[in-house]
Amino acid sequence: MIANGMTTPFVILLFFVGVLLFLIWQSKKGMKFEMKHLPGLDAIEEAVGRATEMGRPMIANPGLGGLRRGPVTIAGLSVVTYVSRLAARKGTGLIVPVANPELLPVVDEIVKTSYVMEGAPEAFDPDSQIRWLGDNQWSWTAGLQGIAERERVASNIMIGDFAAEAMILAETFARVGAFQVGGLTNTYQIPFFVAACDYTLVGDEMLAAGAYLSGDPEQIATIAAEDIFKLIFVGVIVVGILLGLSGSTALISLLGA
Amino acid sequence: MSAIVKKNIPLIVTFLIGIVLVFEWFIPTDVGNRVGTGIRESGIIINSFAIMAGVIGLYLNEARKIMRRRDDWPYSVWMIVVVSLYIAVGVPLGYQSDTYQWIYNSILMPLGATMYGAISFYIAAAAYRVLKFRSLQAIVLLLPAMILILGNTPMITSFWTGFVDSGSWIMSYITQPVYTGIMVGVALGTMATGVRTLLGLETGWLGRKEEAE
Amino acid sequence: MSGKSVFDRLESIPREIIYAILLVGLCYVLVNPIGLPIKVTGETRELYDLIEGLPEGSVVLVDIAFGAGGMPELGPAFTAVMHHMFQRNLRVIVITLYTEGPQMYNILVDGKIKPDTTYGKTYGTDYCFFGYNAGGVTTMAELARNMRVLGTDYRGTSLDQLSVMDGVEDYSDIDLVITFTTSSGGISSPADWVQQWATPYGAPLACVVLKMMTPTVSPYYGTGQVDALIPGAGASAEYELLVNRPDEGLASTDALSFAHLLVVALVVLGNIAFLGKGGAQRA
Repeated sequence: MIANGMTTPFVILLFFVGVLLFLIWQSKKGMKFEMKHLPGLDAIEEAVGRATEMGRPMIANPGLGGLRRGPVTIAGLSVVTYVSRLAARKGTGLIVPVANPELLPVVDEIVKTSYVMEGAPEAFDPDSQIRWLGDNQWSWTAGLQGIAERERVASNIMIGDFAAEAMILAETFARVGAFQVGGLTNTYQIPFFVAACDYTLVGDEMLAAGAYLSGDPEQIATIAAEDIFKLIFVGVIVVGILLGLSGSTALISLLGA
Repeated sequence: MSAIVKKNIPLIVTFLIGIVLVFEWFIPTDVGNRVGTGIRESGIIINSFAIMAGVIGLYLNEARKIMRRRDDWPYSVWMIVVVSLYIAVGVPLGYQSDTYQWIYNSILMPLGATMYGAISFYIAAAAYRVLKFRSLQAIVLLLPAMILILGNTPMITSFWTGFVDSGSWIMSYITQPVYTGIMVGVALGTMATGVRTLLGLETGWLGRKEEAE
Repeated sequence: MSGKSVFDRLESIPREIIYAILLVGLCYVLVNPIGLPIKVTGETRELYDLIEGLPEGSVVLVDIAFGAGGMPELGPAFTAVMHHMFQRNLRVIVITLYTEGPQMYNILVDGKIKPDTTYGKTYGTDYCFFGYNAGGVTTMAELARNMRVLGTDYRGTSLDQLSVMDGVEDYSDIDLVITFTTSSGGISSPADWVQQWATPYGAPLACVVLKMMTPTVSPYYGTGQVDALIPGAGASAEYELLVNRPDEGLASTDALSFAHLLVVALVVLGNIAFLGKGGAQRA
């Protein structure tokens, strides 16, 4: 019934969904999961405060990709939601650069709602705050560089989907003295962010941003499910190493079933 | 627009399509294949429409900036002119036409290649600034970086392959396992986000959950 | 006197000076190449051997997933590999899910390789191009099940009328997939090809990527899901040597060397300054 070679992945998926749903159910019943502090995400408030004190705008950048990039863009949008609420609360100038036109209405709505919920709807100005800089990777990058230089941005939060432009953006904003928090899942761009940003979120730390910033118990429960599976995978790797050293291919056959 | 239309219907559609495609992937059946194929072909068409919707939204956005004479409104005019030019040439003549190709080859390609080439300048400046013997962590970053850079320098490797071999070792036994670990974490995060999206727990892509409620 | 020591000045060389040295140096070596010998690495040879091992008439699916930005690094590799496939009389089906893909096809295939005049190949019989499709991973997944799902090629000709498509129905009729990509995810990334073609169907897959993407793809290469992994920059020159078609790849090796050596020199200089400052302060 199950496609060839898909049995183990299917079982793992069902098990994962089961654990996830169980933990979500537990969180609704009151079980609390503690998340470790992620300095990068904690620093966002510091970034907003810095921009407020300096009287200069800040940037909340969800990245180049659109909704097609799925979880990565969603994580970026979670951060934009959080940052826009803080900015609305503190009266900080906020710029949200958008590359993908499909994302424009989503970002517009997110930022507008944040300002409305903070009781400052009149402070929301879509023309100056939501800036579409071009779907092309390089036009978007050039536009951001221009914003960095002209407006002397005080803080730059770039958490989302970034590719080759990561280095250029990080270095440009570092040059104008911006405080930077970077996050991306693109492994080969991580070193550039680490080199140029004050804080960097690596890999799934970024995907946990939504849960961490919202504090939503259900979302945190999903992070707990991920951690349980990471431990399981570590166990499988250790068993695999031991079996491999003994010459057995049983685990490989099982995982490939 | 009511919350039912704005939130519930998209969530129901997402759930149904997601579940069908997940099961179709793992448990192939004739009916499932036909439904899955239909959904995927629809997805191809919808993607194309989404691009068109994005372009229309763009026009409206930039037109609004021009009418309100916002800062940089001349650039909005220029943007509309350029997009219109591409459409005016591309739609009747096709994107394979010589005119369309000329516009691309003369303008977009050199600009894109230039921006991409600029990365090397930023890397040089960043390497000079960051790669120092500041701390143990910095040394751990610095030494493999130097080995890998020299291992990818044809002028060096044509005479001595030591850096190439060392670089390959670093890539195979340090970088690759680390990146694999990161990828496993990202894969789990992606799975969790996917399940949350299917179950309607993740609504960031809809806009704001609270407003819809 | 400004009070700045030699080490202070060495540690704070203005960015503009660095950019100027790099710019002038690169221009010089591009105009006056030194032409040092290069060695062909095992990675490049793997893809070469993969293609060499295909019988004449085998079908290769080539994915263009780069644009103007990736052209300098992947363009020469693409050209050299396509030359090789035409030399081997393989059937080549080119697709692209990238908006700039058609332009790359025009520039590289129609403009540079010119299979019709160079090798006597006929479009539609020996090779074809499906054109751009906006479907992304969805299209990729569907192509594996039905290679004719897009219906027509980029000229609007029905795929059923192209003899290059004879006997090509799904993934099982494709002998090799080669993706030339700068994408990290979402559209034609190596991970997408692994997920949609290599893992479910065991399709042979070769990835030609940017040098800096190699660590990201190497886990798939290590597990055998990717059969050949070629980093664009250096490998372009090596492949040109293998197929005896010297071009931009070989011409750019000196520029590559210069840029790398300059970075090393700057790092050494920066560290001399940093350590010297520390020594001076302690003294």
